[in-house]
Amino acid sequence: MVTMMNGTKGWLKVGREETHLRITAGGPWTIDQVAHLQPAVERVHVDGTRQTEVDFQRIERMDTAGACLAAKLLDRFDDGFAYELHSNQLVDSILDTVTRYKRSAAARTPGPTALFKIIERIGRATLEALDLAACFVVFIGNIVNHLFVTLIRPARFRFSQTMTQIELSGFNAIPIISLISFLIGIVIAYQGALQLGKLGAEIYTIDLLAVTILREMGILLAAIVIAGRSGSTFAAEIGSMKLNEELDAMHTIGMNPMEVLVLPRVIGLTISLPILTLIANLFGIVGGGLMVWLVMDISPNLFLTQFVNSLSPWTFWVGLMKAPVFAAIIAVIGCYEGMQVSGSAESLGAHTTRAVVESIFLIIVFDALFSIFFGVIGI
Amino acid sequence: MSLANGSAINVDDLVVRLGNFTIHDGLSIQVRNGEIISVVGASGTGKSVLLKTIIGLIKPVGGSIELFGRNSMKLSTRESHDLRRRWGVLFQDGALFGSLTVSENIQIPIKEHFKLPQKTREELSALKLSMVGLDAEVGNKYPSELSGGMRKRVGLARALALDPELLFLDEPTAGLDPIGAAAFDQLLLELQNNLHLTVFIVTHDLDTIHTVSNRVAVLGEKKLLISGTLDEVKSFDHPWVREYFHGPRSRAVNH
Repeated sequence: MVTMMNGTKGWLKVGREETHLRITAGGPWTIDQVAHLQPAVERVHVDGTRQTEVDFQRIERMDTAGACLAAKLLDRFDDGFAYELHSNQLVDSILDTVTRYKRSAAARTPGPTALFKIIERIGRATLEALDLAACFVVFIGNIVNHLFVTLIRPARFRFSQTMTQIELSGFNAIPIISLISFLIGIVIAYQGALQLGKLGAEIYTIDLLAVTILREMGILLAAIVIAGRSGSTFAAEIGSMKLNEELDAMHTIGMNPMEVLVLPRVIGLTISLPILTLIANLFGIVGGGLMVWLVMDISPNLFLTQFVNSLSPWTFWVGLMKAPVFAAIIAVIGCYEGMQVSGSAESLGAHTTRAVVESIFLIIVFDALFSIFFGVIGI
Repeated sequence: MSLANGSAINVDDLVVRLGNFTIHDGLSIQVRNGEIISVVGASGTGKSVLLKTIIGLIKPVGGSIELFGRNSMKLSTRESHDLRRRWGVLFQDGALFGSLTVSENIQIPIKEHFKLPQKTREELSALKLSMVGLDAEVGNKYPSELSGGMRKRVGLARALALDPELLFLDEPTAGLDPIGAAAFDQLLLELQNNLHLTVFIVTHDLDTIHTVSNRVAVLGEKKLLISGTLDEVKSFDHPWVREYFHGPRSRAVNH
């Protein structure tokens, strides 16, 4: 091994006398030498050779990479004419090992071409998308099925798991959601005051605040934070359990993962998100009220009067009604993506990401649908 | 080889602590060049911890570790990078990179340490695959598509990618069926013979100990209880050692 450090190089010499080819090699034939030995091996011409003599006796060290190269050199003489090989014991033993294995390591079939790969990918993606849609419908059906079973036989309901989920995904999210909506309340109030002030209608900032926070921002903020927080957790938790074969273990024990894992999460989140929405609403309005007080000098009393006056009877409920729907979207997608994990850690990461992206996307889509719906029925 | 008669691994007075728990307290062990040593011990005696400490994944609190005659804890970054070329490690479940194909997994160490053309790397990975007894087609698969036994073989192929002088195996036959385990033992013997490896095996498998190892080291009581040939170790007077080598499942080593 000392030689490896002091930089001795492996070498290959080719001598030719008419039809007589004489190849000599020496030095270390190891993996760190392959890069410069390879071109030398490839340069050896065998055309028109009648007699070949190969001398490996001066090779000091040879590893499998070197032996691979030497075997490749010898392969060139195999078709048709004989060669004479001199080598030492060291080279013999490793060369013997490598040639034996090389025979069975027949060239593997080349991969498909780039165009073929693209077409294959498009086809695969299409099938996957269809598959996903179908599986998702089945999954929702499954959940509803279990929900009914639970309603008929409440004894099967996992009460403590559901409470744990409410604590983890609801209670623990209170600080972050409060802070975010407080800050957004400030932003809305400030921008509203600036713009409406140009019209001299500053007092309507309060109306703006009430409608924006209660109808849209409170629930959206809460839902998006929860999608990032709990949707990803659900997917990662269930996904790693699946990788660890824990779901299979559950089946064999007679526990249904739907009942044990999915339902508590769906029900837990459906209970906690409306509460979180209430909290988001409260802090958004406090933040906005504070801003209005500081910037426009409107006292809390006046703020409250104007605030209550500005509300139509439905404003508050419109926001809150969306909460259970969004909660179900987040929980179902999170659990579904977790169930889809298979094979590797990479798949776990991909499905966790998808859980978050898909649920936020669907939340926005459903929010738009709700807006249209409420517009049509006129509340 | 300059160290032909020396020791490949020389661990002296090792102290390893994980959290508040002392795993090893004054453990010393030598592995000679060219031998296959099996490390055994009850669960929790820190066999895998010892392996991980030797390859530098766990930092010991005290003691010294010499690899190829050099203190591995006092190497520069560059030197310890180079040192990694001289050993290969097979983790319990292969520890293959899930996002890469089998063939790419085997090429990774080669890519990391040497600049070789893609084609040469492919050839080498095919050769290593066939050395561990797998078909070339396996090279295109992903680790998640393989069985546990195949993953171990691929892990071994990756460990052999750079023709290491020293091979660390963590429970190489655990989870394999007896035939697969026996085949793995034979494979190991053949490779050791052909490539002149020094092999450090952490194992529970009495058959492996009997078939492949030149020497056995027994860990216990936070130390090395004894190391020696199988016969020497078998006759050592210690309750766990007696139970292990003369218990109901010890037929393999007593015939």
